Amino acid sequence: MIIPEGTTEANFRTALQEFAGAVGAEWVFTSEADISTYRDAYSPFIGQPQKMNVPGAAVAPVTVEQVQQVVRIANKYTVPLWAFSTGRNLGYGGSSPTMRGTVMVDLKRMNKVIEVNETKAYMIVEPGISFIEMYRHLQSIGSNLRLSAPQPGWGSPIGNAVDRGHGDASYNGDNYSMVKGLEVVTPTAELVRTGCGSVPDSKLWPLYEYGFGPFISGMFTQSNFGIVTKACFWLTPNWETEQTFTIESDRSDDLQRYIDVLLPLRNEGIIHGWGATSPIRESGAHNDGRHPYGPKTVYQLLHQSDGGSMRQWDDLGRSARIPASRGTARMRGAAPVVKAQLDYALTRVRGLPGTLQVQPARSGAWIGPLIDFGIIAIQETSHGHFYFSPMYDASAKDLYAINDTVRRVMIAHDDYDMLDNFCWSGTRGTTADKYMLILLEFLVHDDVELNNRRLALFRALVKTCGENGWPEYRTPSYMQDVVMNQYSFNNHSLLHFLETVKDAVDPNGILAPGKGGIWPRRLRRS
Amino acid sequence: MRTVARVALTLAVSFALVGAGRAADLGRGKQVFQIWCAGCHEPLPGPSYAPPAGTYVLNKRYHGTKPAALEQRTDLTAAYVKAIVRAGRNMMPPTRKTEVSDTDLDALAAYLAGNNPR
Repeated sequence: MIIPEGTTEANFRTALQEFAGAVGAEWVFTSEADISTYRDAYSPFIGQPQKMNVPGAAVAPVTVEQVQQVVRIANKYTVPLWAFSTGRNLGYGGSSPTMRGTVMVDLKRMNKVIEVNETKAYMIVEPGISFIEMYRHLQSIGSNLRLSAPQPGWGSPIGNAVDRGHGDASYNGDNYSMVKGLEVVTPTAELVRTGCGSVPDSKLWPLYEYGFGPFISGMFTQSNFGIVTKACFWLTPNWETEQTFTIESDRSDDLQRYIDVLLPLRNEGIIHGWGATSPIRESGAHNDGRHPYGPKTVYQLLHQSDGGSMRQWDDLGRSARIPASRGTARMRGAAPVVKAQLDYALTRVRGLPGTLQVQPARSGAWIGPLIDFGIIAIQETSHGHFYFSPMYDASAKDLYAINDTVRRVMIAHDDYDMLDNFCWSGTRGTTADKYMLILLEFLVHDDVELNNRRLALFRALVKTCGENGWPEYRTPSYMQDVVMNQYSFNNHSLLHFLETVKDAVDPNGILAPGKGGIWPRRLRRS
Repeated sequence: MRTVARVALTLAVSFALVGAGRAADLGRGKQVFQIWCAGCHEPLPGPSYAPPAGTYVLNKRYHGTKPAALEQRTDLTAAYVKAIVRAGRNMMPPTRKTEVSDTDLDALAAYLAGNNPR
């Protein structure tokens, strides 16, 4: 049994006994086999057990009152807790904690659907229900509403939202943006509802998120300030039709022209999703599920000191008949409305250089992936992956710049295999709005030394991208400090504020030490 | 107030009421498979852009000597299924008792071992 730092073994064992009294002995897990199911299944520290943040135990409450009891006991014995909804954010550390020996608070059993309101298009749910379970529930009641689900659907809407994850982009892939109210157990075991949820018996909880006074819901995302036990989500009606179009050219310079037209269309609500990329640069990538489809010259240009000039890439694209620039747009909704949106959007797009293609309309709502899970399997990993996922400004200048920066860091680390696997990345058309996102899988291998080199590369990429203003949007549990270090404005004043809040709301420092890079006073290093 | 667990229980009970205990197990096992396994282990090519991850990997491993889709296998044993589900293997993460209970795992194992003539 792993005893967490700052907790005595006697206190730890006593706390486990009291947890059993609170939730039932069968829902406290202490055996090695059971605890193993809470480890990071995709840990890059495979073969280095001393570096793995293995939990000390797990406890699985089924009611809010039981969660409060668990928190009270943890305070009494100074036992750190790490709560999770379903723990299936596999590329971001799964359910594993930031500190070894932490007791997992497994909320999977809290899977109630409190309410689904078809007219107002919202649901109130508990954290344990998964996307696929909720999808089936909506089907079973004949609902026309849908979630924005990441593959393969076993994750939690609440878990994904409070980790600020993305789904398949119903209209907006940002799941937290659809959260309109939270119920939270604080680190001192008080029960708090945000916004109008604090007005007794008010129906406005899922309808008006702000209520009165400071708006604090965001404090419970990517943080260690509370355990979310309910959330109000706005849902999206299933759409009748999906329509996409693309515009492509053989000139890299056209990419900004496409962005200049597509982004305003998105701002006006004419299109619901858009993307921009350079297919010739991406064509050597192994990590997009299509296998490399471009010429081998792609790698020669990437390996050049300057990464290839615009002219070289354009010439290569022409010879390979692969576009240098591509813009994509998507509309979803009622068929006549989508047709009108398409017709109007095309009046703005037709003046652009390049070839316009309007894809056939696709009837009916479908469940699409943000990242197709099968793509990971194609990449020949036996142990999964973790994500490098920096954000950048939605502009061709930043798009080219961040890709060149990533390339240079990989070359500086002499990691040409990684560079050839990645090549270049534009947006996949599901998350782009005013910012864009690279999602690069770092595959985990049997080779310990290779994994360690990749971890060093990851840290270097995070550091360099942070220095260029391209921070991570989310990161695995073992990289929380590394990423928080990017947010360093004014001598890390954000972190200092968060630590002040932490010490106030969690005086015993028991909830998720280190999450968000926020450590409680008793465990804080200088 | 309604829970998924209650819905699942109702379905399982309705199977039992028709008087076929083993059929109930297989019915529940199939349900568990569809909820927890099918996303990665349905037959190729699958409904999405990329293939189902588990079937893709098993197809490469077996080179046609065994079916890659688990529901088509005739050599699985209940004990093997249960061990893999709990421990995970390679890219497949372990499955916790709070996700698939021991009872549901028994049903899943019986379902997937159902084609094994032994």
